[in-house]
Amino acid sequence: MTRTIRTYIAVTILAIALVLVGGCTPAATPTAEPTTPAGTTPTQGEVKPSGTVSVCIDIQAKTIFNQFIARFEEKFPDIEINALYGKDQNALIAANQAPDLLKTGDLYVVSQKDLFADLTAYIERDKAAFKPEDFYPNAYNSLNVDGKQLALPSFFNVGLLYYNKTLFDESGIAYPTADWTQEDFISAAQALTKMEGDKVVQWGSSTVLGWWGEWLIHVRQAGGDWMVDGKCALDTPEAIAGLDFFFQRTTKGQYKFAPSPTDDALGGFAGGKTAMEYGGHTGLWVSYNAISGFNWDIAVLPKGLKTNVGAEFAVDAYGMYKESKNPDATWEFLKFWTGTEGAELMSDMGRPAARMSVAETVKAIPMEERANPKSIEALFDAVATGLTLPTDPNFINCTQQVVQPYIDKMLEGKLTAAEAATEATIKANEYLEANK
Amino acid sequence: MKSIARREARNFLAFTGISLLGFAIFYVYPVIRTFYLSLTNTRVGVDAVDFLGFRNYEQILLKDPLFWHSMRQSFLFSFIAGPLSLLVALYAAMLLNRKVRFIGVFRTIFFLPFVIPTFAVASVFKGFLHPSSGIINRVLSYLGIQGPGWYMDSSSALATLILISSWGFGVSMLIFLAALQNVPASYYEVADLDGASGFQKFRYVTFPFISPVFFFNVVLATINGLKSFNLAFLMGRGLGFPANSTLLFPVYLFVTAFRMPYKLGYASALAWVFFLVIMALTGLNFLLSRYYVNEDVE
Repeated sequence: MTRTIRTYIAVTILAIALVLVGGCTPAATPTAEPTTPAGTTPTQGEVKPSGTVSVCIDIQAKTIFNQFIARFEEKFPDIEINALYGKDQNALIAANQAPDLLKTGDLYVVSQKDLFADLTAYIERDKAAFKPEDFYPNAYNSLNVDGKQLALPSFFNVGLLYYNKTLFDESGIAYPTADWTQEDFISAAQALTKMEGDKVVQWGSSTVLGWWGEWLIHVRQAGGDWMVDGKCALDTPEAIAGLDFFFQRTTKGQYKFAPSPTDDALGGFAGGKTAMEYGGHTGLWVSYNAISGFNWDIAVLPKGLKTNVGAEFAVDAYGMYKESKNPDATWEFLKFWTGTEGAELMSDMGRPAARMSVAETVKAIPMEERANPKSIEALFDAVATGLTLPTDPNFINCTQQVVQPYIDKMLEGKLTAAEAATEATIKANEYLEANK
Repeated sequence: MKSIARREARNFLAFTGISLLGFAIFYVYPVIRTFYLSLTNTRVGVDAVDFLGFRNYEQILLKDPLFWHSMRQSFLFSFIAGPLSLLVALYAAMLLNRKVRFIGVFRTIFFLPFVIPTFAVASVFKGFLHPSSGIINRVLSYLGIQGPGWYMDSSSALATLILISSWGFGVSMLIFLAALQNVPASYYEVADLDGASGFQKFRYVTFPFISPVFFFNVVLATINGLKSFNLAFLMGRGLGFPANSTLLFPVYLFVTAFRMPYKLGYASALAWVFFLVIMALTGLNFLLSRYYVNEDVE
């Protein structure tokens, strides 16, 4: 072979070998103690932060974030925000291209803890203006792992009863109130379900099937819970009563339930032909308000078997990537976003903020001047009775792949509530043990 | 001679070098990297990585009921949906191989389902098949028949997926059509003279001619059936709903890797097991092909 060919082959082999050797090198050095992240030591003094801060943002929130970022950049002209709309954060992390700000939440922060810088020093430095004590304590504390504040709440969701005021008015039925029981809810849902022949033309309410969103509320309102002391506890009499209540309410046909919005020609709650949405999500408020003439409001969830405590309370949060190239600018944006000013801005745009002072500001607005939902007090009442989900990293997979099949079979009438709960508990505990 | 061989080698490398490098980086490297990951407990967001040897494989084969369940669902799906889709494709190809007016229009119509994105197909069928609001059950109820729960009931959800998947027979149909057009007309004329029935013509003329292509489609259908992800993910909400009945293996693999706690190491081991299973099945297909593929066909 000529020298050219030999060189060509050698270069190709070398390139392949380099790639393969690189591929077999661990992504991170296996150490019990992570090295001190760059972002934990804030710059002291009057140095003005500058540079670019990257962050992944849901594509659905593009409109509000464009406005929000514009406001920030107006105030901090030296910092540019690179909003990666619709980008998959996990894919970027896996490709070693993690953005400076990472999205997380109370449910995820424990299993993602190695990704985040500890914000404690920054918070301590700026606490006078930042007022960390103003956050809802359960939202703020849920993001503290092993004494490190890894993220800050950007907004929150809590289970609520959403209702279409137009459909209630047309049927002459009184709006839901804080003292509604499940019986009130069911009879209203029945009265609001309209048929033409055997075709449903208006649903009374939706019911959440296929995940824990609704059955866990009934279990908790009956005094039970999914996880107690790191173990599945669905086989307690209270939890079984809650599951049975859910079964009686749905499969037994006390009212017809609406299919999920993607399956339903009537378009779900936002389609304007479903009178109530059980649970819902505050992240959809912006979309609801973008629908012309859609007159909706909220109430706390109806009281269950024993109490009204148990609506799911979930915190959306952002934290600083531990290897952020620009920690000071990143902190500045995070501080603005989750601080009083940013939280008020977000709240104005329809995203509930996790700050008590913002709640007071919102409540002080006269009802007739508020955007939907007008009964915003219900949101804050629901926070008081809401419960967070277990932070065990296996919670989601265990619930969806191990527990949920038994709940589905219960709803199909193939298992009783007691049988489903007992089987699910045994299998879930085996799963948790195997995946410790 | 030596200089010709040298020139050929140089040309070979000049033409294939870039693609070989691309193959190494985008195919060989991920395969090796996945194998390496499968020997560790790598998770997104966790720094500590332990080398586990083959413990992930042991866990999969001996202690993971979801692996066996999802594999069973994938096999059921593949072994029913594959032949069903092949039969539909072959039948459609035979229809389209006839000399009728507007055949081009018919061919386009039959191929159209293939180019419609899966999410649109899933969405349309979800609407059609919803147990209480779907048009199919409403029509059945007019006829006095209680419709099934379709994709909302664990006993019928997989069957519903199989039915819907037969919608995407377009590529197999095109391959069959191309093969059918290569069958010499004189063979049919001879068969007609001998008084052969339609089935006999298919059995003794058509099938032997298209058997290599049939084998190719069988291999494709088996692999595609086992790899099937989109439809199951969309119809089962990415959760295997209801009751894990739509938890096909690729969906299980996906949720293991990309849902908390993001077990990339374990998911890589799942991927390797799956790769070996598909390879074994393809080998089996090759063995079985000896019994029905006519290799004399050019």
